[in-house]
Amino acid sequence: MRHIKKIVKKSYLNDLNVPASKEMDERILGDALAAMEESAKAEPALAELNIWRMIMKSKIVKLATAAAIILAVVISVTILDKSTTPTWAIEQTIETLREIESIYIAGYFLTADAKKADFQAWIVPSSKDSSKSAYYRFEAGMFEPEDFNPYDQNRHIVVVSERDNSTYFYFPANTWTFYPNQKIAYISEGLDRNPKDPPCLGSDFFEKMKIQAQDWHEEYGIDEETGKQSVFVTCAHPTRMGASFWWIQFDVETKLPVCYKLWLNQDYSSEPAACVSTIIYNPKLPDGVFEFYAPEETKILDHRELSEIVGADPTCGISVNELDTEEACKRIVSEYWEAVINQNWEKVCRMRPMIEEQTWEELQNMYINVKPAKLLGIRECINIGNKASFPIVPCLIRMQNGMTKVGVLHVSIEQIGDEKRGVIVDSLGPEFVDP
Amino acid sequence: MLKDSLLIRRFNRGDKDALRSIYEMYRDDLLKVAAALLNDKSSVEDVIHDVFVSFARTVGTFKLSGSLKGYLSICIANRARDRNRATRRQNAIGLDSARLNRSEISGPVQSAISSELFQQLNYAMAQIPYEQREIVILHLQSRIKFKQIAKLKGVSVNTVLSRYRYGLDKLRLILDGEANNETYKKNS
Repeated sequence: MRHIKKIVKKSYLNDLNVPASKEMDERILGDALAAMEESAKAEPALAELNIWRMIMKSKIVKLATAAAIILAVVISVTILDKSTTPTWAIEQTIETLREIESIYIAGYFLTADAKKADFQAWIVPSSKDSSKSAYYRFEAGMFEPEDFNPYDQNRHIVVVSERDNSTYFYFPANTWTFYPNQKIAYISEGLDRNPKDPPCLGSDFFEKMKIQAQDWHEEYGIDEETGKQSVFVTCAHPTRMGASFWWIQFDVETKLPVCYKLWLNQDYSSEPAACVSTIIYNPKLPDGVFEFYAPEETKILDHRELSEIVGADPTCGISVNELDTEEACKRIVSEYWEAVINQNWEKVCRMRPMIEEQTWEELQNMYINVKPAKLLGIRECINIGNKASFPIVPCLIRMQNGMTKVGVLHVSIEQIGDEKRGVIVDSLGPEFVDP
Repeated sequence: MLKDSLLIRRFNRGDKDALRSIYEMYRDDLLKVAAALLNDKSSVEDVIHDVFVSFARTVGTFKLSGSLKGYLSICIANRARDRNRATRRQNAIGLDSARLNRSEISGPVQSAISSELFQQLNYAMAQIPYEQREIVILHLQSRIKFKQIAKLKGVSVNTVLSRYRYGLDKLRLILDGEANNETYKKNS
């Protein structure tokens, strides 16, 4: 199946050369632009006419329209009157954020070993639910604020793109214990960015916070740096990243959040788990900020491709129904290594469907040469629960010559109809490394 | 590169440059899709023309769900199907006419490479049912996900996957048959 796919792509679609001409462009674009102009002129006139007819058709509607106008005037006067004394309410923030198309944030978060890591993110909230991002680029590493360099290989990057309906994860070298030089990118379908990344501060986010937050406390004061009137809010509001205790500073004049901090517990005097010190609304988005560029020599694991291969050939992998994710991951690798040790190449091939034909021959020869003899143990699976990448399962294997090696495999559990199929995606780096 | 959604926003506001950018961005891909799906290759330009003119008429009301390239490719596929039907009715074209012949192709639509394998593939493509051919082309050339094809064509993902599988299986069978014939001819 994959062979014919390759032939069609390489020998048919690549060679199907259909050059465009200037005349063709002029004809198509000319007619399309004329049609666009015609429609643009016709649409508003028709719409206006219809709305006017609808409004003026009944007397009741006429009265209702007049009443609505009076009410609007009364409300406007009330609001104008109140605006002389600056106050703040979360509803105003929600309203103001509705007009925001994009956000830039920068700050730091604490890593698992309690070190500060700088990050920055560009966010375009989703029009359907602005607590989620339609476009998102998160970067952690060493860089100047607002410095966008898509070719920097040393930044940890997450890109979410509604256009591609995909999420891209890039882990630079020095991320993995056994594989210091391994750069990996994961591509997956959907907009499932890392749950530990900062939340998207769209209007819907504060709408949810308004309903769900507990221990809400507001304090008016002056921002020491800018001298502007501010409101400092503390509250408990759950986030997917685990940190639930918020301190947020709102600008009374603009109504927008200026900065925020997050804690894992209510001890607001301790070091926050995350601190966003810069928030820029409607920033100039750098060209290509929501594009993902994989640096050279990056291993790319594309979940979309895997799903299609398994979807097109449901005999791939093994059934892992009724097992939880961790159990399933362990079952997949243990059956895989058993097949390798027994030289059951048909099963090995079926369990590792993403491997290319040429690489498969190399892998098979390598297995025959080094002769894995026994699976000594499976260590704790990592990356479970992050939909945008794959679970990683480290294994300890004894070779026939008595040497012990580490083999770290990515696995995946694919839902095909009612069945869960477990497959090996690829190794993390070289197939075997010294422990 | 500008995002589809931003381009669509500008397009819906009547920005002509947005329409131009959309055309320039997707023209080459759409030409390939049309050329791969049409039995009469001289209609490629007309199909692209019709799709873009129709798309331009949606100004102010166009709503994008999924990728714009996917949407336009499906439009091309639908137009190509209608054209193929019309051409078949008019000329009762046989399969052999679907072979790409450089001398018969006029205007900008020219195949630069006419290798033997390419001709065999082109012949094989014309032999598989249109609904299978369009899924194969939309997926392999336009890289549209099966889910999006299913959504835009109003069929289930399983139907799309089956058509794709059957399409590729048939292509392989036809190519194997061609290869066997060649071997047979050489041996005899």
